[in-house]
Amino acid sequence: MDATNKLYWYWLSKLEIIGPAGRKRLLERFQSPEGIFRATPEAVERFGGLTPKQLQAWMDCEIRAKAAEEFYLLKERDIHFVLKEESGFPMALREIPQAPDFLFYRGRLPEEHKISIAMIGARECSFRGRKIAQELAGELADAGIQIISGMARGVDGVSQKAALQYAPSYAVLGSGVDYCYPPENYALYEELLRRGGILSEYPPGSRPAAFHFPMRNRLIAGLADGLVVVEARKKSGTLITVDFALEQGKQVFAVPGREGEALSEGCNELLLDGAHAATCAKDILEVLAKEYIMPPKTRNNKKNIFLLEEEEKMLYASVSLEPKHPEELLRLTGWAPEKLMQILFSLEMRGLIYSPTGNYYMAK
Amino acid sequence: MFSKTYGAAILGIDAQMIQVEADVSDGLPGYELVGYLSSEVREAKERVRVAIHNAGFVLPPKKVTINLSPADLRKEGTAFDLPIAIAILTASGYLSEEMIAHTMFCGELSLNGELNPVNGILPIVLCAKKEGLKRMILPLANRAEARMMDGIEVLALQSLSDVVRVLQGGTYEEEVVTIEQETESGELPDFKDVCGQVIAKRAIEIAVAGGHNILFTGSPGAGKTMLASRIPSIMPALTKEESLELSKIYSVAGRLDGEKGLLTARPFRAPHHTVTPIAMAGGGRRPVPGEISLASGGVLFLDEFPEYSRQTIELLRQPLEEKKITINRMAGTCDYPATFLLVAAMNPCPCGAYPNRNLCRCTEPQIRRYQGRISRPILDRIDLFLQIAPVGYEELLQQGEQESSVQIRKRVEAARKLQYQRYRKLGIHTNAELPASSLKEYCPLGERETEMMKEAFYTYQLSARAYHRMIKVARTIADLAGEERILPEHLSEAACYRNEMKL
Repeated sequence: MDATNKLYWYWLSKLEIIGPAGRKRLLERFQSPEGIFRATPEAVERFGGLTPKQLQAWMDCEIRAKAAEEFYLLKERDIHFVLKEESGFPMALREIPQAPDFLFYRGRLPEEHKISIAMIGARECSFRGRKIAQELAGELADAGIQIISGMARGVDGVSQKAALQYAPSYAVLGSGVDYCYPPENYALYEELLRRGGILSEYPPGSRPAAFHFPMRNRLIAGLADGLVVVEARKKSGTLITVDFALEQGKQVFAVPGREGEALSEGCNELLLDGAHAATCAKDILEVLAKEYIMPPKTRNNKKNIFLLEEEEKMLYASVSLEPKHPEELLRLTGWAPEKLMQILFSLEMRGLIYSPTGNYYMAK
Repeated sequence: MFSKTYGAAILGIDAQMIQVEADVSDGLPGYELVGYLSSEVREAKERVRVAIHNAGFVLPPKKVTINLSPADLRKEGTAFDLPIAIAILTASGYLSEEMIAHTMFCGELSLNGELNPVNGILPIVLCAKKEGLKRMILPLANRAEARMMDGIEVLALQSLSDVVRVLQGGTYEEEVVTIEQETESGELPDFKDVCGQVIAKRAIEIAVAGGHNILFTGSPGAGKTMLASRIPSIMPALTKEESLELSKIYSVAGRLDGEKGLLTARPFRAPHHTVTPIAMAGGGRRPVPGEISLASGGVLFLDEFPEYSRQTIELLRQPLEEKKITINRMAGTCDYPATFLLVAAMNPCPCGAYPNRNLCRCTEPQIRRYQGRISRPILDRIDLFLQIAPVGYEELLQQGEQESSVQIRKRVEAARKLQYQRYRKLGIHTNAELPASSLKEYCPLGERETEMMKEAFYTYQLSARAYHRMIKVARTIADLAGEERILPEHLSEAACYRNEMKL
């Protein structure tokens, strides 16, 4: 594939207003991106497949000039641009319905021979969901699995952060690869660049538009061999990704939640519909990759609580993955406030519990 | 002929004696009023002329000059009407110098010669007494407030003609006014009505005992306002000086109900969040004390803290630090005391349900923005942070044996006494006021406690300020327990209230 052809593709990628369908029609009519570029305005107008606004974008000299300018800077900016027909394009994405024509990425692409699992969930997740995402992602990554997600707030970002401690992780964005959204995940963005990769089908400089995200989700599902839903409300965006995964024939896992909790309703529904239940990494690996051997648990999942005093054990048993207010712990233990706080403090100092927000406490 | 009388001008919450000089002499008939006057004082010229006329005195067609001295001090208010009238009458020969000697006058005149009440009587009478005057003549309507002070003869009269009659030696019948002392915090809401919320009540007790500012966070309906409104019931009684100081503030603000005597109850001010910065801090063209001064010695409760305008919140910085507010006006600078206990309450997020993510769907940036409305410098001045959890059903049903406010107040008073004795040399009253430089001397830690604080410092990643704050709060907890030294259990409890808001 010669560079000029790629340059015309790059120009085409910048015409966001002409979607995949319009692009396809144009390609059919004019054979190649270069053909589209060089076509006379009369020819394009006669072709009739474009709205006036699309036509205007096609003619826009500024976009044409910029495309050339930016294209030659891509390398310098460490942005890779691969076309579907090139060998560097991920196999996994070639096979999905509505496969993208091209892909931008920074860092690296997921390794083809390794298992990839997408972890997704509510942006506004609970502390319990956060905790579960962390542990699950950590365990999976520790077993050598690549975690794919969208770097969003909540479950996405938390999973990737946890995974990066053990293995590379990859994020598919709904904006250009050079645009960190959400901004508070900038540290994660940098870490992903260093140890994994950032992918997007939108050209550099694209802002995160709302309609990008469902399309981005199809890539997340597409890159993964299995999809784990940690927390989801009914009818949430997370379930769009699940739909894509099912369409692509991927395995879907859901973390079972407690009945009656809004943030678990989506997961529980998936389970009822036949999704696999995922309570730990083992559950997932047994379905997806029997040959993977779970590494021995070196991490302190089961905290050493033998050395605790009787009362400390009692309190530790009362805190859970749900943040609890001391008032509630008073109710559970029946202690005087002074005593409760003393033991809370000693557990906190031992690193067994922590307070995620305000005066609430939960198990570490 | 020349004569002079005494009046007083309000500066801040104190009064300064003003000499009112009048000169009536031959020359082109005219009338001059000088001495750096605000427009309401300048208008006294007409009021006084007509009032004198209607009181039945005839002013000769002469040159009348009046000067209010010191002439470089801006004079405001209507309290100068009476001294001006008396000075003119004396200079015109209706009264003699002896008759008006050692007397301070104050009061506003109406055109028919009646005396109307003025604000700030308490500091004016205090000023007269301090300047060594023997008599104070003021409007009848101000009598109750003036009588709160003894050691000076107070004549409260109805009109200008009454004043002249009494000065000329007429009889003065004192109406007996009984000052009804307010009943001891009788009707205040009591903590025994609050079900559950053991930790919150405990935090409030600590806040009041040590003078620590406190911030409640909690979902709507959790009981933040209910708890806060009960704070006055556990505050220690006002000392005599505090009571006088507070009464002066209220007098200047025109809010002192004279019939009830000096204020004895600690104030509880809860200005609405639409309050303007001026109403909060005090000020205005003619400066009056604002909410923070009216809350002096008591509680300033700011419900829905982030809803207050940024400016209103930020202006609390100086008063929280210096216990006073300085107001600069063209007329000069004045200080109002502002020794309030800040009790603020807020929702954790715009919807209020955070951290219950099953109910709260606020996004992280929304929550951060909401909590970010309270700036760090303000948070740094708050010692106790407490999330209030919604009350469980069992607690709502729970009956009896809730501790009453009287019991709590006993402990608070005992703890305050300990602090008062400890800090006598420093001139402060509470642990909260203790400067960091004196912390080592007054709050020494034992070996075990030092080790604990070291651990806490690293685990919580405390700042130096937060570290000091934790020790001060622990000191108060120790005082409540009657312990001389800070013990591990005090530190661990203090750690519980350390948490600041975070996502």
